Formats: sequence, structure tokens, C-alpha cells
Amino acid sequence: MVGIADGERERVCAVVVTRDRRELLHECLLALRAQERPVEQVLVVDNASSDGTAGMVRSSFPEARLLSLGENLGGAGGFHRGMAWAHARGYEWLWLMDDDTLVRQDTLAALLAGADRAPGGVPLVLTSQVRWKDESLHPMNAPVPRWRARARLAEGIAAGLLLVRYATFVSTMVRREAIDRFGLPLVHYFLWSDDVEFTARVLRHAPGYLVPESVAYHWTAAPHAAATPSGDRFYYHVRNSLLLLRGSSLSPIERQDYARYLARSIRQYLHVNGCNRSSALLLSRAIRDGLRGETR
Amino acid sequence: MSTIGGTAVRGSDVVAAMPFAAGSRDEVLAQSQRPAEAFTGTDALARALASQAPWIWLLGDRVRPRPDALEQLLDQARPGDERPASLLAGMVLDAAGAAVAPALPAGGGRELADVVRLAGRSLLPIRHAPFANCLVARECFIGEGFPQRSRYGRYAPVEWTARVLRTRDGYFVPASVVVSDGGTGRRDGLTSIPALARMARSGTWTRGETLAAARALAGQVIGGARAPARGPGAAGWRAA
Repeated sequence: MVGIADGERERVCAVVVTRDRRELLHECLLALRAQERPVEQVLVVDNASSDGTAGMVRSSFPEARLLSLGENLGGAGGFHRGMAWAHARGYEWLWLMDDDTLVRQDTLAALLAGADRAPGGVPLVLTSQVRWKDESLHPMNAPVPRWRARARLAEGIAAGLLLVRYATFVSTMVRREAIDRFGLPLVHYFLWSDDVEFTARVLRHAPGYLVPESVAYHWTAAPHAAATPSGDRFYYHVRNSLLLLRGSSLSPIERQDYARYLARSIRQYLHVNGCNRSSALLLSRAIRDGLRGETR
Repeated sequence: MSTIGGTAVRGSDVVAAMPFAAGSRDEVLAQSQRPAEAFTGTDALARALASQAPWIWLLGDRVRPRPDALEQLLDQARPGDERPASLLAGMVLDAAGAAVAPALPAGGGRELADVVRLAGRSLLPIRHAPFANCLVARECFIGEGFPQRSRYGRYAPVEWTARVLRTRDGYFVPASVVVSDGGTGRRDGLTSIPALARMARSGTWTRGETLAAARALAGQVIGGARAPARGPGAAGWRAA
């Protein structure tokens, strides 16, 4: 059982991926330092920041390990490298988050408590409920309950847990056995949907839960979903969604549902950004690259 | 305090209606909280309603409620600050202690924030439920009538509860447990295209739910060699 005595406590490595958001990262690391259940190790994966991030981490958080990447590998590459680092050093739990994640003092303790009471043994993935600043559920990290798995969903509810189909890398804990069995996030996704792909791949074969009393905040400027007027970023959403659909992380029925979700998000993007040459070019590039499997 | 099947019944709040344990699977036995008034018959539901009890507890074929099963359901009729329930569905386990999927309710029908919050209370908002361990407020029958078996066959309880929950709230209460003695009901799926068409026209279901039912029906037709999932609560339920 997790956390019974210091000698038996399972080790947690918090993996924080960052790029050029020094102030946000500082707040994130302060919140990790304040955990009532201490984190054994904080690993900061720096995607070639140029705003003094590395110096800030070294001076203000000497207890954290800094993994400086020579080039920007995106969130996907950052989590791939960070998870590989933590897995190689034997940490039982990898607690994943971006630099704009703010956790409460009890977020980690609540996740581990969820692990203790999960039916059928320790799950491979546990995730917090993610909120925006106004305490509403953040739409970018909204949970996807596994409605069709009625028996397992029911057993989870009996334990106060919500069975989910996939999770985002905003306060999500991954068991090391998940990497042993299913590998690491895919580097070539670069940005967006890498977390969905990875957790969907794992949870296609094992249960994962949202722990309602474990709360984290995704400190974005606005509570937006995928379709925002953010130019290049939406390219990655469309391209990577097509890569996901062409992969094996989702079942055939789930691919139908995800394809409908992608279509809705494209319509929403066009509604927000307008049906113009710029939008058309971005979408056509993304669709072409997603169907061809072309990545950075 | 009286008992029904070994379960303590509080006051005169509940009448239990359950399929007859042996013999005809289409008979329904309705028991009042006063065992001397037990009665049988396909109009058992109407008799149960005539008892004026505010709640009717619908139990599947060959299930044994745990002693606190009913109490656990009644305790969640008004769960704190949450919206009061008109329908509460409990857990159904097999003899080995595993949940019986075909006998469980389907989650959904509320915003995700509600789902997350309720999960923290070990509750789940539900979209429809089989009659395996199902506590229903009397006013639901007044408002929606009886399940329409002639139109929906074994799917009637699912259709009826979905209609009820279109405008009311219902929760899954896993703390309320009945154990199935191996009841061999079929999964509550649609069995015909005309039933699917009625479903699509009824206005009870969202487009996504109708599509999911169509996919399930197609799966039944195409994969007819697969044995249907079995569970209590579906077999033998006949509209009064």
C-alpha cells in the first residue's frame, strides 16, 4: 500500500516540462515544494528556454533536477525525455505536468489515496480534476468518463473514483509499469494530443481514474479548448488527431467518436477564425500531414 | 419494521415488486411491507401503485438484497446539496462479488462538473437503468405511465427509465447491493429495427444515444453468433 511508512513509501518524481515561461514555472515549483505529502524528486525538463529559466531553477530550486534539452522538442519530446529519465531511476510514480499547472497542497496526497482505494489493485494512470482560475472544469482537460465499461465504472464509483478513457498531462500520475508495458509518449507529436495518445494507449488495456478530491489548476490566460485563434497550435491539433485516428490507441468505435469530435473542433475553429485563406491553408497542411504521417 | 427478502424496510415508504423467483419468468411478485398482503400477477405494478407508497422498489429475477440495500437507496433520495432523485439504481453483483454489467445503469445525462462532483460522493448521475435494483418514485409512473413492453420488448425498462430521466434526476448508488443468484436475463438491447425507429422518433434520446443503439443493434445482427451478456432485471418484465 502506498505511503504507509517512510521506509515503504513509493517514490514520486514530478516531471515538469517548460519553455520560456519562467514566472509560471516559478509558481508551479513553489506549489510542488509545498506538498503536504513531499515529492521525492522534481525534474524540470527545459525545452531550450531563452528567458533565464535554467538560472532561475538552479538558484531558486536547488533541490530540483534540471534536464536541459539542446533543442525545443515540444511537450511530447519533453515528457518523453523526462519520463524516460525518471523511469530509468526507478521512481514508482511519475507525476506529469506542464509549467502552467498549479497544484494544491493536498493534490499529490489525494492522488495517492486514490491509488490506495482503486478496485482491482494499483491503477496505471491517475489524474486530478483540472480547473481554471474560476474553479470551473478547464475545457482543455475535461475528463472523458468510460461510460461503456459499466462494471468497471460502477466499481470505481463505489470507491469514489471516476473511470476515464484518457487524460492530459496536467497533474496526471503514471505508474512505471505503464512504461514497461506500453512505452513512452511519441516524440513526433511535438505539441498537443501526445498526452491523449499515450494515456489512451495505456488505458485501452488497463483502468485509469480521475480522483475527484485531487485538484489542480491549469493557469491558462483563458479557459479555452482546442479551437483557439492560435495559428500554428491548431495545426498540431488537427495533424495529431489524424495521427491518433490512424494509430491503435483507440478502438474502432472510439475512432468514430473522436473523428466527430475533430470535425466539431474544426467547425469551431473556422467559426472563431473565419473561413479565410489563412485558415484554409493551415487546415489543408494539417490534414495533408496527418494523413501522410509527416511530422517534424 | 418489516423485511422484504431479508432487507429491513423502513416504515411504510416502499413497496417492492420483483419477478417471481420460480416458474414463469413473466410473472411478477409484488410484496408490500406487510408480508400478509403479498400478491402476484402481471398487474402487480398497478397494485403496487395502488398501495400509495411514495417509492416502488423494482428488483430483478433471483436477486438477494443485502440487509441495508434499500436503506442505502433511500439515503440518497436527497443527497445533501444535490438535486433530489426520482430514480435510484443500485449495484448488482454476482456470487463471486463481481459487478454484473447488463444489470447496471448507464451513466450520463448531466454536465461533466456534476459527474466529477458526484463521483467524489460515490454517486453517478444516470441516463437509464434496468429493473434489477431500481427504486422509483411513484410520481414517475403517474407522469410517464408504465413501461411499454409491447413496443420495446425487453428494452422497455431502459426506454421507460430514459424517458423518466429526461426531465428528472437519477443516481447510481453503489452502496446499495443486491446479489444475483445467476439470473439469466439478456442484455437490455433493442431487438428490432422498428423498435429502433420508434426510439429515434420518441424524442427521449439524443442523436448520439440513438446512433449508439443503432450500432449496438447492427452488432447484434452482424455478430449473431456471439452469446448475449446475461444479467438479472430484464427477463420476465411485462407491462402491467
